[in-house]
Amino acid sequence: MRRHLVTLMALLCLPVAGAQAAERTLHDHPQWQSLLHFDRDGMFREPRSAVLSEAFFLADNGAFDPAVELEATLAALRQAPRDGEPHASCRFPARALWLTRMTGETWPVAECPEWDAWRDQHAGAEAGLMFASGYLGNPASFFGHLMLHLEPSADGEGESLTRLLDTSLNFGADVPEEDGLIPYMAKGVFGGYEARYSRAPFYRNTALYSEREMRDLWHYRLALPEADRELLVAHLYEVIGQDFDYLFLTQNCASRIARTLELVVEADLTPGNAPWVAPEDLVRAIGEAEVDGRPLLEETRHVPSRRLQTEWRYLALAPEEQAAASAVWPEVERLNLEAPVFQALRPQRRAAVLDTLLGHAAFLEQTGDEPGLAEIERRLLQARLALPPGSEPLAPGEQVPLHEATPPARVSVAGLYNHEFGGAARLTLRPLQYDLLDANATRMPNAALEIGRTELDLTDEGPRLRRLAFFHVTNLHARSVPLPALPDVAWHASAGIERGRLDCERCLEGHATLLAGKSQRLGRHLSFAMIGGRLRSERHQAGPVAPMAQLGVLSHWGTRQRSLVQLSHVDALKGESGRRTRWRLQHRFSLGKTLDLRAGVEGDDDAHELSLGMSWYF
Amino acid sequence: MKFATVSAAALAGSLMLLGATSASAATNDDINPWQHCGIGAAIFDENGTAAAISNVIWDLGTTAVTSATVSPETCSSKEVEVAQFVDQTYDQLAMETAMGEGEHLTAALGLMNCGAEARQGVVSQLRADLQEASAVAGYADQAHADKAYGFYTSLNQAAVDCSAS
Repeated sequence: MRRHLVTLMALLCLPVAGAQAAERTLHDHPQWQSLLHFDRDGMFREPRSAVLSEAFFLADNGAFDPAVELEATLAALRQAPRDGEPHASCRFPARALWLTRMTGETWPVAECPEWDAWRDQHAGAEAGLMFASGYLGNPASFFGHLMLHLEPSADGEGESLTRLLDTSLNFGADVPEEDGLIPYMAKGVFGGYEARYSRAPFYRNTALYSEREMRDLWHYRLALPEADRELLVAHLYEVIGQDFDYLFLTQNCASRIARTLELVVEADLTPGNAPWVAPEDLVRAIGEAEVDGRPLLEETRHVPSRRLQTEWRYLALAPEEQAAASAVWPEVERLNLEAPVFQALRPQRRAAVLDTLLGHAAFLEQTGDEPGLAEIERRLLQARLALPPGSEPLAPGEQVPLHEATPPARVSVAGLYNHEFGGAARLTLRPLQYDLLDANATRMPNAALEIGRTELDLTDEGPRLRRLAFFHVTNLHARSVPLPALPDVAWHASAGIERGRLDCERCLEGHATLLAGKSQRLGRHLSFAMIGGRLRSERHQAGPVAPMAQLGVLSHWGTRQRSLVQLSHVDALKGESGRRTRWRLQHRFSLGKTLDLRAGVEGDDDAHELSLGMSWYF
Repeated sequence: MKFATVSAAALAGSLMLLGATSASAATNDDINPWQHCGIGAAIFDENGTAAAISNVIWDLGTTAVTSATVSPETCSSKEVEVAQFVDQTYDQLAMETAMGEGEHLTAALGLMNCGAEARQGVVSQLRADLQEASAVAGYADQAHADKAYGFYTSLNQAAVDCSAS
């Protein structure tokens, strides 16, 4: 709306006070401010552009004053081209295009070989987002990653070969190799890094995300009008390589891509004052935004990881073919291509089995360092090459796009009965992101990632803190197909404050916990066992360091229901006061995308609790 | 760094492709393949991706050296594009070649301008070459760069008619 008002004012000024008056109003236009990335404002400093590179501005104070930058840009665009100096219309084609559209003025013709090459490559390109699902191998990737994606126009000339040759625009921090984990985290959160857009063919990202890190990608194609796409493509040319502010929580890939898209999307795609901006926030905003009264999101496409492709291939095999796969490759280091059950299959079906095993070998190559694997892969390759070409098309499973999955924030109200204290109500707030009961394949199956989960018991004596989880990360690393696998470690890490016993209300203790172990799938049940240790405070218990063991079973009863049984034992070897055993059973029944019912029973050496509540996800 | 070690076999293969001209010119110390071919400008696109891309020096170097000795035109950006693609996706290309189809293989054939009618023949040739290459006992221990270069050479030979058409 503001965009239209400023445009209208500029147009009204034209007949009244001439072009100069119109120009003066344009600096306040949201699109001009988007072109300058003029989106950094705060309570304690003056508004400014998020771009740090001086070369991005034509006026000395252009980073702080959109009006003087507008003036300088118009002056530069009106100048005749000079030898050996790129004209302003070559350096800033989006500014030139937008100002022409707004004022009707045209600029001297200039030779712009680099801009021409970019424009030729991306003329009419469809714009979109590429979301890489979360990755628990790196804290910075827990919440996923977003990139801009340009694909050749569907109505362009020639055959569209494959999306592998499309263009990715990646916004990422420039992190020096010598920075260790602590400086990395400190600078990421509090500042110290710069970030920039870089471009690469999309296959580089599939190599990294799909093939190496086994992360699914989701392509969100946007329904932008041609004129908007033209402006966006020109603007991307301007910003590639420019240095930007970077903060892991608020000035990250999602927020910068959101601000970039707001050049052509008249919507606040992510709130400017949010304490964090996650890629998922932008994906959901894209799913709800409109352009010219039409949905902004045109199409969603899933790019499955190598692990998921292999899983699909395996599940598409007939039972006797699955048996043949296991007979051919019974153990990681042993391959038996002469297995009778395999040789009994028709050549075409043998090919399907080998295609599955080749995919599995590629998966194993990335998950561990097994010396004999390369030779096994070679033998599989040889065996497959001896059979006719042609493979079964992939049979995709049911994947829910992220913007249609259960949102990450959860608030829950539950009725509670503690056999020591009687009835109470429990309020739970979890800002981010998922637990073992509401995790899904779109984010990360059989895993938990919770930040800031807070549980308050509301009793007659007022609210009592039951638990504050600073973070809680679990990855059960379940095998998806029963083919030989390298040893995988299920692990858990958490830190927070919680009651040491269920029979007391004021026995909060701090802890940091680290566990590692194994998981084993048995049909719909995933059992796990982990051991490790806990560092903890000693106000109400003995022993600051306590070995710990945990057993559990996560059961998938269908798409709507899941349950978790856990038994934990901690023993600081300080006698009874340092020992604690706790068990719990939780069951979740999904009531749709944003609601669920949860029932639980929990006990320790002193008391037990029953709970039943409803959660709302947002 | 791991790709900076261009194997003697790969280099020898490239020289054989170009014959005596490149063999004699390869001794010319004045040749800067990136300058002469303009490959640097094509690859390092001034946007910070140089570090990420620099691990394909092996093929660019090989391509550039051999091409620069013939003429700048021979090291066209298309050659570089194909070499980069093969280097980055060799594992998928080998797997899909064995299977006879796949998205990476389609992209590679597209980069070589192979039309639908030519693809079957090219894929057959690629499969035969890969079968021969992977039959060698030491294939599993070969460096990634050597395998990728071998596939790149095979692709160029198999698709020679595609480019001509």
